[in-house]
Amino acid sequence: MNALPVLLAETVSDGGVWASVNRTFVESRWAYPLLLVLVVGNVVPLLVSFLVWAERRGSALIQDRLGPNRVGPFGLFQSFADLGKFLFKEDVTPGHVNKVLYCLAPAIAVIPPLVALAFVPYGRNVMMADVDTGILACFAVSSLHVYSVTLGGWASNSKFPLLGGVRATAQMISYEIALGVSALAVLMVAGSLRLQDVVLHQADGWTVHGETLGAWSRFLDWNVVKQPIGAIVFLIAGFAETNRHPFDMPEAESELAAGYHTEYSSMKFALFFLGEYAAMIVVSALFTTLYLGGWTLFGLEDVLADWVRSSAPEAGWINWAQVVEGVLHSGIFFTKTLALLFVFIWVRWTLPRFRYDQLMRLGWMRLLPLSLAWLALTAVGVGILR
Amino acid sequence: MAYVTVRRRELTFAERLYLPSILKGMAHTLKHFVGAGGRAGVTMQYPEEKWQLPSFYRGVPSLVKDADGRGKCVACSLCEYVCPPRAISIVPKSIEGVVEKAPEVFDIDMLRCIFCGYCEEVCPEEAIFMSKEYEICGETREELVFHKERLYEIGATLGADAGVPDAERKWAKLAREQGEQGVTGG
Amino acid sequence: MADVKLTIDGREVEVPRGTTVIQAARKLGTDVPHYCWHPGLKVAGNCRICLVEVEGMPTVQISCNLEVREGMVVHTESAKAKQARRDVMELLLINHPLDCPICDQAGECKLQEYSFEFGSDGSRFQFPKVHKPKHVRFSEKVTFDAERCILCTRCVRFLDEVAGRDELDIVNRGDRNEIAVARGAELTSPYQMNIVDICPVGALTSTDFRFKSRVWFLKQTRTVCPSCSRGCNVTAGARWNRLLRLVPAENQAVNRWWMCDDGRLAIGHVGADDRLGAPLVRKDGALVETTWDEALRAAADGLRAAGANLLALVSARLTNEELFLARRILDALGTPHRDVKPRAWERDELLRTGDGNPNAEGARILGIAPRAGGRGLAAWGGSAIGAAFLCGEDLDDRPELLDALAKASFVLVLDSRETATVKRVATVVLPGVTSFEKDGSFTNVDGRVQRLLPVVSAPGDARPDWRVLGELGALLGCGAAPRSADEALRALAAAEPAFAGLSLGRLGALGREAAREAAR
Repeated sequence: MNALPVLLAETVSDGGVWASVNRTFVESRWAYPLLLVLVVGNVVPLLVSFLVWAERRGSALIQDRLGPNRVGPFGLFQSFADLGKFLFKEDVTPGHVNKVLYCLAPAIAVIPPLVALAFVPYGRNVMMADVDTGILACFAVSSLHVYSVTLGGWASNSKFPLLGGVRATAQMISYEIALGVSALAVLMVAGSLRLQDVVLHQADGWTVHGETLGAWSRFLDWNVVKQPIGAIVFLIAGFAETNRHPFDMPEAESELAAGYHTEYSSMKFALFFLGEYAAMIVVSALFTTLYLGGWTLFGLEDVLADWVRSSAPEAGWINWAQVVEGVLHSGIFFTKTLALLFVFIWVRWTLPRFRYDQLMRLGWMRLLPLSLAWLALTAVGVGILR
Repeated sequence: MAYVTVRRRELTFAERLYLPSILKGMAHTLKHFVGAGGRAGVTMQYPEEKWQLPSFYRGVPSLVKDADGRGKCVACSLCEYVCPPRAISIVPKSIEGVVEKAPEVFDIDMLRCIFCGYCEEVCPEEAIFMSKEYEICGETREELVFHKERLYEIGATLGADAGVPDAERKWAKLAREQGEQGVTGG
Repeated sequence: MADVKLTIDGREVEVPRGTTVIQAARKLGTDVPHYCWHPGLKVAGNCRICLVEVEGMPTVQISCNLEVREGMVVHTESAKAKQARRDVMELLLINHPLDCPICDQAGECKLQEYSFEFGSDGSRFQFPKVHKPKHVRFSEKVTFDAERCILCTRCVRFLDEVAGRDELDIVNRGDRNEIAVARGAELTSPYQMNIVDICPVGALTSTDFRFKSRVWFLKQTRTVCPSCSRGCNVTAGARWNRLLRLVPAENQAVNRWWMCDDGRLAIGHVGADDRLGAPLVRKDGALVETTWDEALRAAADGLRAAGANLLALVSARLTNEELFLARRILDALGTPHRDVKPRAWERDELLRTGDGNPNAEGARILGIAPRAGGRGLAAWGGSAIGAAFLCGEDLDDRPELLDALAKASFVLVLDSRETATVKRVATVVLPGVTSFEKDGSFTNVDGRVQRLLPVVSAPGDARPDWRVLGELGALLGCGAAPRSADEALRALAAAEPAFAGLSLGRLGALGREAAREAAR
């Protein structure tokens, strides 16, 4: 991957040692991913803080309340106030815990979701790691998230956290299968494990027996149209994977106090919180990528960049056409993701929590057979239409 | 025993699918979400807006003075006795004049006070009243032990229009009658 | 005298001829309301509250002045009697001020009690009340409020009949009646404060206790006055861990209902500023605080080194148990030099004995006195002192002895206060407690062993003397330290025939006679 030079005009090469050093760095294979890591690595926590605010404001509005409206405009900075509070709160480590695992668990809660976001394409050239087996890497990393809950529950060495941890483990493993199988159907349609390919496949119109259908088909090309059952299964399993309502059994307050993080306080608790929302972002980003056409928007994604490219010749430091394209693509991507995240919040404040046996029955006896059947149907469809 | 078997209604496929109900529920919450602005107005914006307190509201207990500016409390200690959480502590002292006794120390530990109003109820001198003051906070425990001066300060906020009944005025009456009968206070 | 049988409220009772109805009722446990009647005073019959209905008599009768007759049928709770009492209450309250909030008697006021029990809830009296002088000084000890007085004359009769000084009387006429001392005079009786106790209302109040605390907050403990060898029974009232007042407790064998003012007011030492709160040892000329372990060890080492040469002054203000434990130590050391410091006190016919040591008799029975060849206190000044043990005692009033003690190599002091003796001569100081802070017993002048109970807790790290002496004895090899004052008394009872069979529990509220004859 050597995309950063694409963003910058050739003028960089002019003049001096500094420029040459710069150039060496800019052209190295680390520079662009590093920049993206910086951007995304900061954007995601910011997004989380925004999400927490949205969750609280959203729930308030749904319940005819106002929610936090004091810190900053519309209470937007509430999360930063909360962060300050978390940072300065006493970090209690109970005497009866397994210290190493106890401290490790919150870290595991945060890191896998952030790593998983590295494989997601935010735009044509906006991507941290373009891996050929992108979807697998993504699943592989994000499924580590279950360890945080399990270890947190186990290391706390007390009953509610343990029960929460056990529930979470069973739940996440169960739904991961349905999640994976429904994603498999998408990959079958796209014919590639590379997420960028999956996205592009949803933007080029229907291809039947090697022939591309008319431009109209581009508007029906998202997998959510082609894979409706898979999309629903994926979404439901996604809810369960992130321990969100109505599947938040691991921390069901009415039964388990706070579940696996009962014994956590201060910043360690905040990390679990951060991890949960980061996991929501991952699932939303994956759903966007797999079913909602990723950064594409029926060809509109290129219009503006093309206009910039044609009207403003390549001059100056920065290749504006590339920048505009990147911003536009990620803008489209994040808009879709945010809409999905809203659905997460919306569902949470609408549906009651499942009973644990209902949860298990739904996972194993409904979603798994359904996703398998859909996979078979997709296989047949792909076989016939290709 | 006669009993009736109540058969559960067979759910239709759509019902068993749950999805329609879920969508219905989500439509409902969305309606609230979108139209919340008006309804959320019922939320009181506390520091700016405040409750119209009812006449019987029990806030911080306070000490009041009579029309002559004399603190009415005579340190009879009945409030101290009746106080369920033992928030009140009084040390009496002897004073000159018709009323022989007054509090030297009159402390109410607001960390203990439960605002039950028994002190007001029991007071034979009508010297202690539950004020409308409810915003009390402090950074130390000591700060929240209200001393005599503070209690009189809060009592002063009640004012005459708070309806502090003082019809009896028995000490003033005693002084007057003593004067009429030519009896000195000893 | 022949017994008379009568019926009161349907119950038969047999009492000697000459008994009054109110006493007969008390025998049955029925307390007929009364103000002016007092079992220790002559009958005055002026308050009229003790009215009872007697069958065959046309009107209700005052039970305090009605002698029992054979076959009398008395109703104390009949409608007629109750109505009569209610009417008397109304009359008594006509001019009574609404002073209860500032009146010290509130809480132990008979007027309040009867008013609550059967008084009416309002007054029908529509005219200005008659006012009388308030807070009048009767003396520096007694304050009088004429308005509250119901003219029962208990105080007048007490001073006349019991204290023997006819200092109070009723002056003026009609509703201007009031109690007064002679113009320009004050009460002088050393027993005058008893009129505060017997005053059924708040007319007479103690200037010392005035407004200190409402009586219902007091933690009341029955114990013994430590001011003289009479050992008057008292009820001590304490609050905020401070001893606030002493009032006499009835004990017909000792002080009946009374006590002297000096004893009553001698409570200042309990909450004094110079109370010792930690053990001290002298290092480089100055007393420094130390731990109990270290102080006890230093004390034991000093005592052991002195051995039979130790001069011991054991206080007769210590309890029997403590005297016993102290004697145990002195016996182990083998010293014949032991004595009690005499303490002078007023003497009169009523209660005061002239001996200010409350346990003088106990010390005598236990033989705290010089043995053969021993130096008594009188001989302390005779020659140099090597080592001394001031057990619960000080020599502040004997400077010449302090000079001698200052040269001694070892002076152990066990006391509750930092006296001049402690400051000047002590090498090791063990903080003890006052008699209001410990369990134990005193033997009074008549040989009656009476129980002390702790009223307040001692300051700081001070320990009851019996515990200190017990532990010190244990260090000196006299046997295990008693775990309680009761255990110490049981040990004493086993060792001394005079105390045979006694334990703190067996002393009861009124005490028991020591078998003094056995000791002789």
